Amino acid sequence: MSPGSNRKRCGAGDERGVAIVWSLALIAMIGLAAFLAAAVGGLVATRQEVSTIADLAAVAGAQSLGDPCGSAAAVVRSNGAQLVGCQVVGADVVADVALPAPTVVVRLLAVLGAGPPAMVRVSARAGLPVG
Amino acid sequence: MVVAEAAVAIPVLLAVAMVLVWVVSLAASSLRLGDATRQAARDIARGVVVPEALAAARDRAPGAVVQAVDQGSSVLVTADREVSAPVLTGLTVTVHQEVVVPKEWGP
Repeated sequence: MSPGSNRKRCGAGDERGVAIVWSLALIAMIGLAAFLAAAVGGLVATRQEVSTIADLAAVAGAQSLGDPCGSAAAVVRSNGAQLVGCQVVGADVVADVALPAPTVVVRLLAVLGAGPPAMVRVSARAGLPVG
Repeated sequence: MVVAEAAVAIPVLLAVAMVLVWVVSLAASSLRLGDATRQAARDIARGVVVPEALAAARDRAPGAVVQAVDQGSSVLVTADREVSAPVLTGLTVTVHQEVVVPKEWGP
């Protein structure tokens, strides 16, 4: 056997190992990216939903004559969220609404060792136009 | 040998990449639907009539099915859209968003 063919066989073996490692690394990275995209996407979508509910709750509170926080709470409840805070500031109502974070995010945080259950919280303020 | 491994690795790689693209498009659709329901909810809360509010919502999310269900004291606005997987277009997931808007802001 010539040294050349020997080198070649050795080289082919190296390439093979490298190909497997690279493929696995690439598959793992793309998989992780998909997982993170799902987590971030879910979180942003939940935040948007909470924000919509908070807006509606603040408007409901501002338009209610008797019990602003009661009206805000009713709107929040009918949307399946939690009213975690409600304040009347002059003629404005500030509603603080929360929903649990998406399951993917909760699992991820649990793996990372975060303690309390993750909630997505958004606050919204609304008032009636003066006059 | 290398060819045999590539024959396994490349399809797996493509499949995982496809899942990534799908996840991103699902997230994008979900946000667009959320935007549509939000627009409808705001309009209805401002006193815009329901059909007009739904038309505005449909503009925000082309291809989505936006509907309103009368629930007596409130309106349930739903937005659905089927998102098919890249390449395998037969594989679809329906993305859904909804919001309950009170019709009358009682005292």
